[in-house]
Amino acid sequence: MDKVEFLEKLQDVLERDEEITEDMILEDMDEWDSLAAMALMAFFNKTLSITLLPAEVRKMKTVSDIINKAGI
Amino acid sequence: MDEKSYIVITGATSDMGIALSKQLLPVYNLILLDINESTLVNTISMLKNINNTCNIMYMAIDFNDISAVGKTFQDFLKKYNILNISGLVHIAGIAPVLPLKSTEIEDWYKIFNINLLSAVEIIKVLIKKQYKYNMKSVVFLSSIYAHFGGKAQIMYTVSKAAIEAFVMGASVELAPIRVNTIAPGLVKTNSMSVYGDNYAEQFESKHLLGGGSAENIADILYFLLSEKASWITGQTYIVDGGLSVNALNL
Repeated sequence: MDKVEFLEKLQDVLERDEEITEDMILEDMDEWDSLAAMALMAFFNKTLSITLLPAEVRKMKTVSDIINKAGI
Repeated sequence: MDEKSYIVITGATSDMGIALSKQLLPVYNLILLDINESTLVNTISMLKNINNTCNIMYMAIDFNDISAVGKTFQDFLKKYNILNISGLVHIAGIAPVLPLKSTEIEDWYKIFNINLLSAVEIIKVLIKKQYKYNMKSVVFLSSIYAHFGGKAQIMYTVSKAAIEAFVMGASVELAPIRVNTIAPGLVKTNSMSVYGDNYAEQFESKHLLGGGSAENIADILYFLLSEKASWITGQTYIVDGGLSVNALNL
């Protein structure tokens, strides 16, 4: 998976109508709440086969942090 | 001749399974079931250090392989010629954290297989004529989540509510074998550690009686297995340190 595809999937996971860019701050996104965090963990576990723990999600501040964790 | 009857415990290597096994050791023999063989072996060796007069049998079994569960369990009992089984405690269960939209059909099948249907298959063996006259008590683990919703817990909530309904129906059909369930609140066990260190601390203050332990749960499981509970069947006991009754303390 490349970055462009990843960001598209992320947009879907977070149920966001507008595009997501790398530099976005998670806190500034309306869609970023605890349910979105859980959807993100489910996405990592199921689609990327990467275990993502709640504590790790809490440390993420930007979309770039998510991309790094995905190893993309 | 060994007169102690056997109790079957699923999810036996969990904190609750171990806490219960420790309480049962002096009074019963044990059949411990769980998914991982080496964890079972380690658990048994630890239990034997506490009390080595207890007969402890074990079997590693994958409850998600649901079509094989009944036969595998029955073959195990036949192989070791075990007939005197008086109780079953179904502690095995999974609690995947998945928002509804992230769930897939296979996830739903899996949680039902493990949380409910595996116990159904085991009960079907234990009510066969060679076992049923020794059987006294079946106890399930439901959850406070069967009574209230929670984020990303929908499959867990549904599977645990299914257990409570099963208990009502089964108690009617299986009498005089008693069938009950407990509905624990948020108990601090190993399986909760995935939520992070501060999870238990965060929620302990919401419990009127403070945080709960695996031993609190083992206490009531022991009671429901015992003759002290001989006039109780078809019931759900909420064991939550006052979490749910405190709901309006916002």
